[in-house]
Amino acid sequence: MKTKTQITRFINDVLSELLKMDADHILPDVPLDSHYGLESMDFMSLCGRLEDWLDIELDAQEIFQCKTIENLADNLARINEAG
Amino acid sequence: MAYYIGIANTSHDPAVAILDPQGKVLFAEGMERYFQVKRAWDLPPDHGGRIRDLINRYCDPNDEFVIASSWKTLGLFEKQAGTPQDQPPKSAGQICVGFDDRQKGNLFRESDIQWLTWSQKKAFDGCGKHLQYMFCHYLNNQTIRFQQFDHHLTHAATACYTSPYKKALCLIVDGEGEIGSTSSYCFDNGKLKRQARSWGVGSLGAFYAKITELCGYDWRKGEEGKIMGLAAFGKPWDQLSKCLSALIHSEGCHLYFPKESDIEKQFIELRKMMSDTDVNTLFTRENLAFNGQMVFESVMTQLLNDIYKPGFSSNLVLGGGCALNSSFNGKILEQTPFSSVHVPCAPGDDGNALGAAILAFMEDNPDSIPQDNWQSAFHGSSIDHPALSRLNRFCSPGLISHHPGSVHQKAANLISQGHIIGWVQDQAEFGPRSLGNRSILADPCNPGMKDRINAMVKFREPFRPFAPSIMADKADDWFHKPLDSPYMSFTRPWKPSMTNRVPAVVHRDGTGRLQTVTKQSNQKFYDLISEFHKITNVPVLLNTSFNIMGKPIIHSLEDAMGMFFTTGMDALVIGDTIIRKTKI
Repeated sequence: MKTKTQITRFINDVLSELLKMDADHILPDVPLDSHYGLESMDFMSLCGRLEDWLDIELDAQEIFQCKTIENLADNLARINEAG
Repeated sequence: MAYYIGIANTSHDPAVAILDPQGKVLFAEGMERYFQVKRAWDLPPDHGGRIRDLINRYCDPNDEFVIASSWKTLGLFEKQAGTPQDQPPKSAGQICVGFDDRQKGNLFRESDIQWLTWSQKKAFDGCGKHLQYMFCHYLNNQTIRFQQFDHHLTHAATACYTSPYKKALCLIVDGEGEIGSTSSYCFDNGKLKRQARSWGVGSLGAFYAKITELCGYDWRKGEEGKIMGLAAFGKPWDQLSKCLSALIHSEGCHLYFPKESDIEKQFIELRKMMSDTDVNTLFTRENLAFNGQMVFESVMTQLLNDIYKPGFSSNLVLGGGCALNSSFNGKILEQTPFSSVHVPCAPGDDGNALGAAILAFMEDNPDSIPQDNWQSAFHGSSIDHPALSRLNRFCSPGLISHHPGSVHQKAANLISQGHIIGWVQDQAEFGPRSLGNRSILADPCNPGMKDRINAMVKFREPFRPFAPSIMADKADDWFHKPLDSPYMSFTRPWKPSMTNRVPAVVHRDGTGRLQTVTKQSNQKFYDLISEFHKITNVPVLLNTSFNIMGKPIIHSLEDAMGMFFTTGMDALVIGDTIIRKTKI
């Protein structure tokens, strides 16, 4: 079982690699696409890596609604807890 | 108790499968056969008149029905909607490596993606509508339930439940699923559990389609198979394979295309290579095919090595459209840790009709075990009896003869005398291969036979090879490490000492896409090959699908007669009846 803090750290690490930014400088509450220019391909890649790491099957339609790291981590922590 | 109707509702290769309340397959067939339109793009799997006839023929229309389809969501297609407006590419039909400004950094032009999206949305939204109407309007039956299954799960069900294994790892690789193009599963005692899946647009199916397009062929027509044949005429070329391999890579079960700017860079590089006139590195479609196939194989090998889990099972089940690449399939046991491999008779999207029906059946009957007839390909249409009676009545005397119990001997004699025959028996094959029920057969020992059939019967490119059907118990004598290949899924090297005995079915690289035939899987076809063996001492027949290039395999007796009289075939066998063009 992963906590929201662990999930947030994992997302930050992946985004740091994709966006070539320091993980500590990535803001949790801004839209990843409009603020950082995260392309949908990269967002999909993040989802795939999250699915492998958490070992759960994500609902794509639900996950696509998450626009910020905060949204994403909240959502995943909830699913992870329920599953 | 219910009947289970599976519907493959991708915008191409629509299909229907019907299971009885005990799970036995009553019928499974791609709709291209009925429509006689190759791949049946944009045509409904549950076409009103056809589905009504099938229900009346195979089911009790008053019973309960479960309708299961092969897509749960539109997935990635939902995100790519647009208007499919475009002009044809300038170089259609030729080697085409110009980076089209309408590609906008993708492997394909924007209009291709928009057209596929529009087409898939229509197939998804329309699925089951005809069926629903038929049930209430014609059959006065309201007891139908609809179920939708994830696209790759239906592929996996088709592949795993038709396999001989209790336990296996399963890899699905296709053009596009609901969220990506690959998924891996564990199959354990009738239960399927997804292990991993790829997210995003990276796709080996799309990569191979692009190679097909670059070679001047058309993936919309399903011409990817030509690339496999062509590849044997090309040679390795480092610079070219490096460039093509930069277009796709895998990590675990995930596939990735590069960033848009990198795709563009590779196409600029390709264009440079094309203008180079060095005779040693000529940019030919053969070299493109060879190096494209090589990259495909290298990525597939990597995927298989990555999904292998020591200690679970060394059996592999492979599904999805990419599992039709028999050249690669034949190398799996040599290049990966797997010790056994199964590819179903219909690994492409048509096969998902059966997978969806099986999943719905298994949900209602969780303790059921796979039915015996799931491990067969012969689930399609039979030749209509009234049509056969009409043929008997109106065919000129002297052109038609009947040979109950001995038709295989007569046919084997004709083949050994150099005749090309059409061979139609019982239920048609489910999937793209003719396996001895809707086949054109000829003598593999005749060195001119390949060119004759390509030019006079199939009307297709001279480089295209023909497959050998071999008595399974003789395969070891003729092939190097042959695999059990009932559905023509694996290409293997011939033993060098045998190649000059069957020149019409040996490809340029010394291989053959073999079908191993047993008495149990197809008695009539086995008897025919066995009879040919008695006459010639060769347990092999040249077997090609009963169609001409660009058309689906024949469906009706009228299709068979039409093709017989408009090609260079010499005789047509339907059941026990032999039809000739000249009086005997």
